[in-house]
Amino acid sequence: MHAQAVPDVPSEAVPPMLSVRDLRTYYRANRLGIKREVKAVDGISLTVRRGEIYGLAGESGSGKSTLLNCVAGAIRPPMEIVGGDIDFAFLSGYGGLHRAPPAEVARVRWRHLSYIMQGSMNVLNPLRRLRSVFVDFAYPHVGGTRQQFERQLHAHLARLNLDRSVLSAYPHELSGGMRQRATVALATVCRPDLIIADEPTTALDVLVQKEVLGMIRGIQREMGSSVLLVTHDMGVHAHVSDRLGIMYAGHLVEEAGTAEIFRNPLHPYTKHLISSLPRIGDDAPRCGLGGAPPNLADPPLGCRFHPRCPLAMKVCSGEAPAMLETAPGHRVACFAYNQSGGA
Amino acid sequence: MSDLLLDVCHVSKIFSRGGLLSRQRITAVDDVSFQIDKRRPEILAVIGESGSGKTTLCRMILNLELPTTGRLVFDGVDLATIRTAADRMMLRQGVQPIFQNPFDSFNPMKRLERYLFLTQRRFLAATQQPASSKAAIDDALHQVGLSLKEVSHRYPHELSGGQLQRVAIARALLARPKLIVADEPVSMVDASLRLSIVNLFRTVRDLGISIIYVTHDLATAYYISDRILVIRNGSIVESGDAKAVLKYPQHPYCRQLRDAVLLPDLANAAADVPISMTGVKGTGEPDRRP
Amino acid sequence: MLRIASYEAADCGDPGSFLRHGGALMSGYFAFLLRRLGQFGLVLFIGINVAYVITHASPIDPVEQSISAVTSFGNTAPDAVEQMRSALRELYGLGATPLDQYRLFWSRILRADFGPSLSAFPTPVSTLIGRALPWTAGLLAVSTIIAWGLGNLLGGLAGYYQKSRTLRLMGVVAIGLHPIPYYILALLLLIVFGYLWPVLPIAGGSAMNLPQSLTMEFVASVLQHAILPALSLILIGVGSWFIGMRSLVSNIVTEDYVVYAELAGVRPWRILSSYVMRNAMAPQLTGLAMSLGGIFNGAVITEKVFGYPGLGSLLVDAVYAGDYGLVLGVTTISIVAVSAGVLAIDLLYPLLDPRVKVN
Repeated sequence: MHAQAVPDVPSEAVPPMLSVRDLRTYYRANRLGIKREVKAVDGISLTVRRGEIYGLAGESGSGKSTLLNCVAGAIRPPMEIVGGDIDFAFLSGYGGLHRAPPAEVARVRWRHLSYIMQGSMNVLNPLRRLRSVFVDFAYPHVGGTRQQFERQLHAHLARLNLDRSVLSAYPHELSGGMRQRATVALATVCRPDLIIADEPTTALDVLVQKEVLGMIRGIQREMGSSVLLVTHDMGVHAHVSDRLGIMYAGHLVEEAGTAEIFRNPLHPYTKHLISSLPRIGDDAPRCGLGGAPPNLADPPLGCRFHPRCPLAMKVCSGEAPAMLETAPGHRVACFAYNQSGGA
Repeated sequence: MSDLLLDVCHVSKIFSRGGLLSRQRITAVDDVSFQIDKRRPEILAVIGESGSGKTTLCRMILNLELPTTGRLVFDGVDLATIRTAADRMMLRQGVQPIFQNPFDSFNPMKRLERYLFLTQRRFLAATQQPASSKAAIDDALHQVGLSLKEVSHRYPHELSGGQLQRVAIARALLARPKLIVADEPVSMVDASLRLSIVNLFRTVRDLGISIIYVTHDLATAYYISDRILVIRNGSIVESGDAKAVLKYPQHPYCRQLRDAVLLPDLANAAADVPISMTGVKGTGEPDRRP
Repeated sequence: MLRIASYEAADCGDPGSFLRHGGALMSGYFAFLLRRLGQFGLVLFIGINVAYVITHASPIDPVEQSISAVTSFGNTAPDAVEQMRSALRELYGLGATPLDQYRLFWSRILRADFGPSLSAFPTPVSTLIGRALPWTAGLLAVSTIIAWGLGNLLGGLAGYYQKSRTLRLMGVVAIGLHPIPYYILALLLLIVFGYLWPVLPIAGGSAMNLPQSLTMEFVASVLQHAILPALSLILIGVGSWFIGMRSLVSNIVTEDYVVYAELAGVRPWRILSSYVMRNAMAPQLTGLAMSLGGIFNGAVITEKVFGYPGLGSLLVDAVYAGDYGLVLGVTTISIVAVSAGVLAIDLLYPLLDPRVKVN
């Protein structure tokens, strides 16, 4: 447990674990000659530093899952990366897994970059015992004899406080919580540099959620890995993420250290996300946000939040605000702060 | 007639499965009793984790499932005595459900407007003229913050989950029910829209309709409910005034649940998710082995 | 019956619980086995009874059939005809009351003795079937298994490597072949390889002049004769297995566990074998068992078109001759075979798919 809270100021000496620059990912469909283009991720730049948990928050349709898929190199039509670069500390110069040669991708997967998927029933092959899954996923990267691997596996499970009997189980024989713990073990067994976690606790009950989050954070601190954690649950971010990016309709609208975001949210959408959540012991009435998230096949001009924004000005419907720094490490895309009429 | 709208009296539900030699009995609901008073409409939150039996309880109140033992009386009618289609219709009108996924509760091939008209015709006989029925639908939609103009000629998939859940509530209101049973109504709705739906329940209660709000989310339960039941493994572990129970839970399980809620606050944030991995091993998962 | 029991099982609390769970499964399996065997017996009983009723309701009277065959050669005295009629009735066992006939039928069935054939009197039905069965079983079992294996392999590859041109072309061919009526395809093969380019024999199971013994020459002749009928069956069979497997697999490749394995960099052949094909196999095996059971019906059209001496030809001839002993014999065997195939798959299924729990 060597890693301390990550400072807000990036150190220039060490390259970041992950950097995404101006990523644009569209879904392109051509049905009966009618072309449709859904701009799911539209110009996002962010970096994940070494040893930090970077949280991404946003609701469905904000593009956060699309962003994760791009980083993970899981690109299937109609999804298409239209522009931008993704660089990893362990794989640079290609501009993303989707452009790297297959041998490089194979080298990187699981050894350097692993993935924790949403804890649904279907993430593990229902016809395969967990031991086989561990062997399939990790053994080729670890090498050595099978006995050595088995010993390593037992040590890893013991470290995560999991009983080794899970290895002989089929996925359906485990409870949702156990399954997700096993997935966390699976994603960390190769001690990867970067772990992508997509809504890792959304399907879990609150008591189990807390345990699984603790487990992810514990092993991350111990190994010094970086984590890109996506969830819509601001409560989870408050407890686990070191830095936080807020996404809305394919754009990153605000980014800062988690403490800073919760203490001093700037973007009206961020403010709403934080203030609208009811808390036990707080009886103040709260209201929801009017309107609905925009249709990304035909997004509003200018700032995509302006139709729902309480602070909307004339300029908001004309131009898109740029992401600008308002304080060290705190960036926001809103004309209400520091913008001199667009970028 | 009594003053009770709903009387759930020592209700249990046991499912059994298995073959000749290995019969398993699972107690989904275990001796649950509670009442809702007719004179005081309220929002009653039923809190529990997955597998706690809260959905089975809902299904029994909706008469989709009969209890193994015990009695459910709605508005003076024992649900076990319901036999005819007419009786069932009466009950349907009195108790309306709202489900978790609004897209599941609407036929994707039917226009929403048609849906609302059919619902209305089914429940409110032939006494009404078409014009007034249109007005009634518009009325119900206004109560949930929509209007007939916005909704008519639309198909379910053309609305967002939040809007559709509003339409589902409007539809429930059309039947002029006395009780609405809402099973996890906001867990599929986006964060920015969730609160407006939750607030809607308060409006509905003020119309004189009681709501059973089934959820695993303690924070929204605290925010809107008047009374609360906490269920674990099929039985009630704690009940009472919602604010009191959630602020000062007495039962250790409720305390555990309350402490596990991850608030979007920094005050106690860093401290209460354990960084070490000790204590990861199963504390709170429901144990349903017979 | 079988059902996916994952949901309930998923709720069984702590990590050790599945061990106990396994124990319950075994005793459950025994009960399930007994029940399935009981069902198997019941299905056989009902099926054979239905076959009995239907064959006996046939408008063709075997006695009249024989008599008309005899009388067609010339004039016969009416007395003699009447005498012959009663003699034949006696001989065929038709003199007894219906109840006695039925009782006799079951006592024979239980001894696997279907009595003498009426059309090839007095050869026993079992001898006729025994003579035809190896031909049918050999041809159909081999071509069914080849078609199944090939169709599933190619269909699986086509579903997994959706971009491959070759496999896509194969899909087009399979879909194109599928709607062609089987007999047209069979006749086409016959015309091409029997007349236009006469390299293969067009009829029979082996060369007529060879004694049926295990000589190299005889085996070679059998194989040569089997090529065309087998090819016709395989072409049609591969197509339908291909299409089924491809659509199964193209659904499975979008499953989370396949995507997850890809993201983990699991080697493609491992994903294809253990994550994709393996998961598509269970339903396809069910289909195979059904088809293998079905081969005891014979492939009527195949055997007729290629003049193959199998069960199918035998069955058709028996129907025309009103030889209900023989029809019943063939039907009973196929009822037993189909039910046994279904039973085998039902019993194997819980072992193929751990999620299927016996209930």
